Order: sequence, then C-alpha cells, then structure tokens
Amino acid sequence: MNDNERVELNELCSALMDGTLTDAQRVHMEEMLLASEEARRFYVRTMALSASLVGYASEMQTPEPVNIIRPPQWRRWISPLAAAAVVLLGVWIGRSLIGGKSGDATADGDEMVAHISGGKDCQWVSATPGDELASGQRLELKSGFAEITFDSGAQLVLEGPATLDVRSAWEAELQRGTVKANVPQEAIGFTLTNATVQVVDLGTEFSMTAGDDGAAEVFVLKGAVEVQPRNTAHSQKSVLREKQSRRFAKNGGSEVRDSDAKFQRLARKVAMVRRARPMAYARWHFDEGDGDLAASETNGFSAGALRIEGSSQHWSEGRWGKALALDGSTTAKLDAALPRGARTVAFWTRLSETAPANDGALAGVSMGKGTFFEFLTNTRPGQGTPGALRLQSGNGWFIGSTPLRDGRWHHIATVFGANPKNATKPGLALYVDGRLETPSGRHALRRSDENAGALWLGGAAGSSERFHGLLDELLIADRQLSPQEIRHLMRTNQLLSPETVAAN
Amino acid sequence: MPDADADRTKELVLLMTQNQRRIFSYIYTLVPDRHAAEDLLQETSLVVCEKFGDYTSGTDFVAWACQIAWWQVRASRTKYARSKVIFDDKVLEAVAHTAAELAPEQDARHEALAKCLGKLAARDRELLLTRYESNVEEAARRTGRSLVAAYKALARLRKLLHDCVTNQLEAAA
Repeated sequence: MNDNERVELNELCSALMDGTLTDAQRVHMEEMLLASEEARRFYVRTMALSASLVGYASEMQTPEPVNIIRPPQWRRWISPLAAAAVVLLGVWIGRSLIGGKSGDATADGDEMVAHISGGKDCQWVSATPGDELASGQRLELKSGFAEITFDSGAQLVLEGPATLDVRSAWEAELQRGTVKANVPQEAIGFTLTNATVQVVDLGTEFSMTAGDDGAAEVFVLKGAVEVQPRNTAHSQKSVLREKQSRRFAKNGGSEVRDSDAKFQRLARKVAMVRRARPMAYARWHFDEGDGDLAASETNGFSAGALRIEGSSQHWSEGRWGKALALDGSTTAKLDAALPRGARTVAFWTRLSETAPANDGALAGVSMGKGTFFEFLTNTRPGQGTPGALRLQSGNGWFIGSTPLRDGRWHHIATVFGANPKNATKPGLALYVDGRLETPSGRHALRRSDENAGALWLGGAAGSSERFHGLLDELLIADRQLSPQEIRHLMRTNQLLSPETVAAN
Repeated sequence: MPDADADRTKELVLLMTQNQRRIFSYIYTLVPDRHAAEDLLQETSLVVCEKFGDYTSGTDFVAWACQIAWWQVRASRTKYARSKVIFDDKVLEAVAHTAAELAPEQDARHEALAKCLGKLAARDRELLLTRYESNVEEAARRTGRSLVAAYKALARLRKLLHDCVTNQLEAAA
C-alpha cells in the first residue's frame, strides 16, 4: 500500500464506523481488503484502535474506586463483581460497556480563586470582604489600596474608589477605578477586562484605569500586553509594549491625554501592609543517600522520619541533593499519624516515559481536617489528560493538564483550601512547575474521613501496586502557600520567611 | 455448590473479566458498530458460560472465546447485513484471520494509545471520546464543529493515532 491508498483506506474505515459508507465505497473497500494482506492489517489495527477508544470513552465520568487493591485496567471498566452467578455474566457485561454516568460534577461557581494579600488605608464600601475571594465576587473599595493575589499568581493592586469583579484565577473585570497588575511568568495569560477592552497579559506590569464614562486607559509599565477592544466594529487585537498607553472608549481607541504624567503617577510604589502569616511545616529532603530512614525537618508540625521499605536500592541523585527512588517495590510511611490540618503538599518528581502506565500511587496524604488524597498519574483518557497528575479522594478526582512522564523533574504543589461556602466540597489548586493548572477533568471531590492521619509514599499498605519514579523535597505545611511562595520554593528550595513576604 | 464447581466458576469469571476487552476488540473488528458488537459480546459470553466445560484450563482462553465469537458473528450476519457494518463472507473470513494473527500485539497498542491520546489537543480528544461515548452529532455539538467538519476531523484523528501508536511501538522495540 502506498501513502495514498493508506489515506483512502483510513477514510473508508472511518466512513464505515461513522455510518456514511456508500454502496460503491463498500464494494471498493471489500476489494482492497481481499487483495492485500497489508490492507487487512491496516484495517484490523484501525478497528482495534476504535475498540480501545470505546473502552476509554466509557471511562468518562465513571468513578474509580480508591485505596483498594487495584485490578488490572480492564477490570476497572466493568462493575466490581464478587463471586457472581454465571447467569449474570451476560447482563453486567452489556451494562458496563455502555458505562453509566454517575455522581455530580463539582460545581465551579463557589470556588475560591484569589485572596486579599495586603492593603494600605483600606476603606470598603460595605462589609470588609473575607481574606478568601470566590469566583464571581465583587470588591468595592471606597478608598486606599488593596492587594489581591490570584491563584494563578497574578497580583493586582486596586486603588479606591474602585469596583472589581473577580471572575476566576485567570480573569478579573474592572468596573471603575484604577488597578495595577503584576503578572509573573507563570501567570502569563491572565486577563483583565473592562466594558471597552480586554487585556491579556504577556508577562508584565501594567495598569488600567476605568472612568465613570465607561472608557478605559491601559498603561504598560514593563513587558507587553495584548489588547482587544470590545463591542466596537474595530475589535482587532494589538500589542502594547513598555511605556505605551492607549485609551479605549465605546467608539474605539485613541491616544491617552497627559500620558507622561499618568505614567509617573503609576510608577510610584505603594508600601503595602501585609500580615505575616506564620507557618508550621515538615520537610523531608531525602538527602540521606543510604539507610532506611528519611529524616524530617520540622517547624511546629510534628511529623517524624519516614520509614522506607522494599528493595535496598532506594536512593538516587535528586533535584536537590539526593532523592527517594521508588523503583516499583519501595514504599515509605510515617510511623505515627500525620498531624491534622495539612493545607499544602509540595514535592519534586521525575517520571520516566517508559515506566508502566498503570502504576501504583506516588503518595497518599491526609489533608485538611481529614480528607485523604492519593497522588497518581492519570491513566484514564476519558476523564482527563493521560499522564497528568491525578488527585483522587473517595470517588472524586481532580486531574491536571500537564503530562508528567517525560523523564524531567517537575515541581508539584497542591494547595488545599477550606471552602467557607460549602464545607463538604474542599477547594483545591494544583501547581505544576509553578503554574496553576486548569484541571483537564474533575469529579465530585468531597470531604471524607477515611485514612485520617495517613502519609505514605510509593504505594498503599493494602495494595500490591508500587510506583515507579523519583521523589524529592517533600513539604507538608499547615497553611496555603501563595503562588509567590510556591515559585520561590521551586526556584530556591527555600521557604520565604513570613517577614520577607510581608516586606516585599 | 461443590468446591470444584465453585472454583471453576471463579475461573470463568476471572477469565471473562480479564479478557473482555480483547474479545470485544475482535468482535468490533468484524462488526464495527458499538451496539451491535456489545450485543454480540453478550451473546458470546452466554455461550462461553454454557460451553465452559469444553475449555481446558491453561490453554489460550481468548483464542477459544474468539472462536465462539466468530460463530456468533456468522450466525447473526443476516441480522446486521442491513446496517452495512458486516462484510461479504470471503472478506469477513480474511479479516478474521488477520485479526487472530495480530491479537498478540493488541495489548501493547491499547496501552500506547493512552499515551497518544495525551498528545492530542484537548478539543480533539473531546471530539473523539464523545464520538465513542455517544455519537458524531453530539461530538460535533460539544466541540463546536459542523457535522461535516466532525466527520473529517474524526478520520484525520484516527489516522494520526494509528501512526502515533505504530511509532510508539517501533520506538519501544
């Protein structure tokens, strides 16, 4: 078969499966299949691929049991079955293949996506907003300055009088007033909108002022932004660079008047008052390099050494010093219970491309007031990006979007938040290499009390499956780390002191 | 139930659960319509249960079950002839022969496919999986494509995955 015939046969296979094959095409296809062994092989592989896709698709939204001995992949596809009577076989096979939708997806409406990280002479119009900000929340500042840190890492300083709507970890809308945005590399793509313009950050410091007349002025202090007028006939995107500014009104764009003076005013630095937020934590550096214990460095969070079991070769070169090598037989666990109230779990991991796809779990950690999370890589394409980090809790899951099996070190940080609006649905933010992940799939995460106080690495005690990969620099902290703190930890392997955070 | 019978039942359940995907894949290759293939899998499973006494433990269960599936497909060909998903006898036989021959590579291809799916853009992956979870119309709707564009994209993506899986296996070999 030459390339053209291959393309043709592929189209015929698709037409056959999708029900659009004509009689003439069908005759032609039969001729091709009879004439050539190569064509038959191509056909069989294409159909087997589709049969696999039927299987992967049926995983969409089907909960995966957690923390039991995990059967091989195919068995997860079908209902769990004890010693079923033989006559039942026919029935459950059919049902399970169709795969029912079940459970409720986590509602995104009341998610915490930002927090107030500092302020100066803040006067709010009505009640002072809480520290945690939900998507959809409106902030009305009467006077003074408020600093808002989004989970994406973008930081806005709002200057009163101003009204700002928090849309998501990646978006806010300025109704009126002045806002100054500082967007680190990891938060590139953060979007600030107004009725007249949308500003997408390309890694910068910029400012937007929205007047009562509905017009907005955009100033780029550092780097560049992409601007796109809204609701006008000329809504073409353009890029504004350092020291450039532009005014956007309902009838289109124009020059900013007194631009230089406005730039000067915006360049002034406002000293923010930030509360020093103390943190208790435990860290395991895995720098021992030999022996069966990984010692902890603790600060107010009493978690001791991890006891390592399994093969004797469980050390390797790490991201920082040595690392724990989980080689498919190694596990590590804490002898005593992990204190309650863990809010952040961070570590480095390196996974080989050739590691078994259907592996055990990397770690299991009890967080918050007792929600147990397993850290795995996702093997179910129907539920989210394959190979991305998968957090599993009970029947719920949360899957990142960056595939991790590439032989490189990745920094993972999971920040677990209380959700003041709904205590049974914990908030969760996942950072990979310092960047907030948009989940590729999530389903029914909720609080549960199983395995309270547990911490293990490499595989659960009750499971025979063991993880393959390296793990380094595990940190468990009793409060949520800010995006800035996560970036600092990733770059320096040091925690920012509370005083540094407050002074910056 | 005597112990021996109970053990035999356990063996049957285990073999069916472990090999269901492989048998389904074989049937789907002969009758590439999901619902028809699922019906045929059910019928096959019932016959497998009835005839399990003929199966010798330790021999190739998938090959044995696929033989049963083959007769189920043959017996039901008039039923599916109208839906155009089944070939003429000679073609069917030739394809079945090739399918049996390629059976040993299917597990590796199934695993490799998961990795290849990971390389697709999210919108493409959604199109494909929605197509297999429900139908082309729904997949087009959910990914904001016209029906014609969806058919074209599906053919393109299948070819892309086919090549990706083949490359993965060659790289691993």
